[in-house]
Amino acid sequence: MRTPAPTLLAAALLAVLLAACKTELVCATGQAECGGRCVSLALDSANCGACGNACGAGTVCSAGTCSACAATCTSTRGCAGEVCQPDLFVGCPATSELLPRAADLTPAGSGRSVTAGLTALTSADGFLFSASGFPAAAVDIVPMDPAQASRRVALAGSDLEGIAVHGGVTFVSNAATGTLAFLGAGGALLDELPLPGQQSGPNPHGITFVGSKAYVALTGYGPGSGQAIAVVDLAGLSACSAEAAPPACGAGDTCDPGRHCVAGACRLPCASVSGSIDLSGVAGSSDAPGLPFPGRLLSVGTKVYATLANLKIPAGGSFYMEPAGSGRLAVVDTAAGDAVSIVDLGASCGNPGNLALQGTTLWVSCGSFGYSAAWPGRLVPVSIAGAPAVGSAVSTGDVLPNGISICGGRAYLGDMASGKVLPFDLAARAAGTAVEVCPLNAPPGPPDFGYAYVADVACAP
Amino acid sequence: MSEELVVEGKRAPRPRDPTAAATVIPAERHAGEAKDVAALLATAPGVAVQEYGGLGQLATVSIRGSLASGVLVLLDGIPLQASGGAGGDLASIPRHWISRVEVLRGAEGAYYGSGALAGVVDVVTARPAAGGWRAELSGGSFATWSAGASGAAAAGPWSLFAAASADGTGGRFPYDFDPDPSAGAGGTRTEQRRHNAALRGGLLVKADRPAYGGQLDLLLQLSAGHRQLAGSPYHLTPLDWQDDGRLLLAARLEVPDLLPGLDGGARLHAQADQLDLRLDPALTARQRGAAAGGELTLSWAHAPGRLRGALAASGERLAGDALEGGHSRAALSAALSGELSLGRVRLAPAVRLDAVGPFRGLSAKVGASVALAPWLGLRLSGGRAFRAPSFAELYLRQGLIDPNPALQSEVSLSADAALVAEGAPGLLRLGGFGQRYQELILYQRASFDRLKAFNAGRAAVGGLEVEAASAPLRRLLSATFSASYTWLATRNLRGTGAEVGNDLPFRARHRLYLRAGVAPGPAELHAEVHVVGRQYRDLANTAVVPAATIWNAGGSVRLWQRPALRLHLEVKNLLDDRTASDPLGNPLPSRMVMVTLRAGSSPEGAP
Repeated sequence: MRTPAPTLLAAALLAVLLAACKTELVCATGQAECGGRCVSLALDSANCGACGNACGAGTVCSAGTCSACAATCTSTRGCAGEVCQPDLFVGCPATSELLPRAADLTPAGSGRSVTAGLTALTSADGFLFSASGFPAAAVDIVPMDPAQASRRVALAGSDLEGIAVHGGVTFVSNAATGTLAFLGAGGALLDELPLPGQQSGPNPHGITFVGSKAYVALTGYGPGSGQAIAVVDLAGLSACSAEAAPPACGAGDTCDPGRHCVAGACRLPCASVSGSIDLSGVAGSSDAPGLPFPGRLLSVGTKVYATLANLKIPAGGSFYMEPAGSGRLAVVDTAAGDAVSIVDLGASCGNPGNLALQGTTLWVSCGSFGYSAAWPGRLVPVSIAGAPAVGSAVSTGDVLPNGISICGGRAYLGDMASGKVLPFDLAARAAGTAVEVCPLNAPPGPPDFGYAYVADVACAP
Repeated sequence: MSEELVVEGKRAPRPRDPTAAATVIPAERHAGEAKDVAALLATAPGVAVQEYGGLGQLATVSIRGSLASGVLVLLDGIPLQASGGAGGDLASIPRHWISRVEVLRGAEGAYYGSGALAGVVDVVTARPAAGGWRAELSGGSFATWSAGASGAAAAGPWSLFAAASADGTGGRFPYDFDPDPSAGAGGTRTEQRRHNAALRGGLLVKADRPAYGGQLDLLLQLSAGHRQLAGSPYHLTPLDWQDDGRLLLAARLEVPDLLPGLDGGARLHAQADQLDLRLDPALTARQRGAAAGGELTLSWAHAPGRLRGALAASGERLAGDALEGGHSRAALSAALSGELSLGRVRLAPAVRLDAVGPFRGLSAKVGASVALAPWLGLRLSGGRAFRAPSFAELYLRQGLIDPNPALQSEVSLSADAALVAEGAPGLLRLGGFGQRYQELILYQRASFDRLKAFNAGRAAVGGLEVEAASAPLRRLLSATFSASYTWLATRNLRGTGAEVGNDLPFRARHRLYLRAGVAPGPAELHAEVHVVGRQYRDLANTAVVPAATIWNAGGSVRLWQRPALRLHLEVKNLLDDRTASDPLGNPLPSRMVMVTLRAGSSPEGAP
């Protein structure tokens, strides 16, 4: 006997399917139906912000609007409006500009001009602060927003060697005058502090902070100058920086007791020198006939770490330029009366330049520009979880690091011999591929006239 | 016309360049005022003297906005060897020798060869008549002293002249030290400049006699100096010093009328110089230089003028620790110049070919003077000059400095014109000039911590030069007045966008020198002021060096008529400005009082 069951079942299934096709499209959260498809109106360049709103050439859809910035900005911080938010800035002295870069070192906006002779760079509170020296010292305060104008603050002399921001105040090491300058918000000069041995050439460089004290590396120029760390008491910093409208100086630059005349205003003193930590007499700080030459400082907890270049005068030379031996790290225990201990950074590290912290590891950049064959580029890890322990040095290849900056967990090393920046994977302890960032300066001139190097790298504030 | 007016306007006898923009500064006019070469030069228009610390320290000269290397400094017509380090240092020339300083402004390469980009300074030594003598003794502030004596005699056919001099200073002067210079207000304290002493001595011997119908001149100059190098107030260098020394020998034979109207001349010269520089704790530089050369000249006087030809050959050598051994090179030159008088117009064309080692250069100049009236003249000139790179620029490797063997010669082009009015009321010169410098050798940053010499500079300079002298009350008080003023507009033509079009650094737009004096009877009084306008420290023109004014005053009284004996009192920096500093920030001396006793036969050495 034949039954109709299979035929009926097929017909029923067909009817169900047909019915299903007529059902409205259900899209995931954040998507919308456009032309029968589920799309992201925030990101779909054919339906940007609304179905059918296609973005033009050179733009992509970002946050529901067609953006030219988003089409080019590779920064992990994306665009704010139509402005790419770089991950870091590279200081290029040859062209006197700060170049914004994404984490992968691709361009992330237009360069920002600064004063000629760029030496140091830092960032804080939405601003970049660059120190420039020769031939005329100045600090440029550069807002992150390129639509806002930068401010330039001229200082005496022609050699600025360090800059740092603390408590809303910018600290500047003026090597030409042996002073520490204090700039308030907006760039007003709040105070200028003569450093120990001012007339012998203390040559201040790196600056760091522990509690209410600043520590300033006094690099010096040779025997009898520098070779120390100045201790600066910042007890007056809050009061001096808080004054919005200090009284004007009187005739003959006179002020009431407790104040002194600074750039036409009677200001409260920001700081005073409370001591100086001599390094030349510390055993192991250098190899005779070398001298320590402290350079950059970094504080971790109550300890201050200072790189010691350990330099000597080369045969037939006149300046302390050649590494006398391996670089050193001076550790100042501020909780123990500024007691100093010395860490040898190992035979691979000559002329240590700068240092940065990741977790409990200090990373120290090493390498000598004039003696790169004997002292090539290296990165040396120093564990400070307990007593400092120096790890194996890692080669930086052709790059002679002029410092190290850690941005977003990734290290960047600017080259003192070219315009390259070397990304460095700290976890893998491996160098990436160096990227040419700073261009040669190329004004019309002789055929071989032109140079490039990287002065400093600063993480975006 | 006053005596001052005469000497101000007088030209050197038979100058090489008859239409040059020239100023002659007779040392006798400032006798007893303790003025060295730099101080004498500072009274001329178009000239800027840079004293790096003063009181016997390095002093250089710039003409019409040039670098110091663009001015050829001569001693009795012989180029001082700048390659050796001391040549361009005006302070290395003992002041007691000086008879006059001749300043020629403009591209003078056609007459003087390589190096005369912007002009020439020729320090001419004294040449008194037989029997003449003089002596001078000075002492004053900061343990500064000076002694000099000279005498001339005849011995058979020879006329002999010898001069010896010694100068010294303790160099300790008070100055205002600013511990917080960025603050820009008050808070200075008085410091004493230390380790700033200088000592210099010299010997000059001249002899001449008739020879071959003309005259033979022999010359020996010996000088040596030691100076402590104090360093910047913010980086004192209490152990640094410098020694320098120079030996110069020259012989010159001038024979007139070799043929009718044809004069001949020959000159031989040789010199050796040394420079030792110690920067604690290492000896930085030990340089030894030597040069020798000869020149033959023929001068033909013809009806409308004169034609002069010269052939010269020389060699120089410089050796030193920082020069990777020694370097030598030979130089050859051929020059032709003429003077042509056409009524009221006098033309002076000149051309010169130089080969300095591998560097070749063509220099040329055309000058003209027009007598517009008996009391008024017009002078015009235009020229081209070059400067071959020095040994230091080519080979010296020292500290952060790298040489550049690939350098080319610097080149300058200049044009100027001046009206000269001269008559009973006095003298007035009013001129304008334009000058272009190309391929200037500058030390530029070449890498992270190296500076290297490059042909990186190019600049245009223009300006006005005014020079005046008068004796308006001569009959009353023997009053005299003189002045020079320079307006200098410089324009940098190469660099970054922020630098092109700006003023050149350390080139003040305005420079003024005024002097007034009276001489009632046996006494004499004078006052002078130097005003240097605002200038910039950098090519970007962001750092300003403020204007400065320095007053000097002095006087003298005759104590005895024959032999002449005169006592001088000179006060420099009368208002005691203790903030003055040089381009490197080194303080310059505060108020300084010098007392000088001068004695001499007449006329040489007469007060």
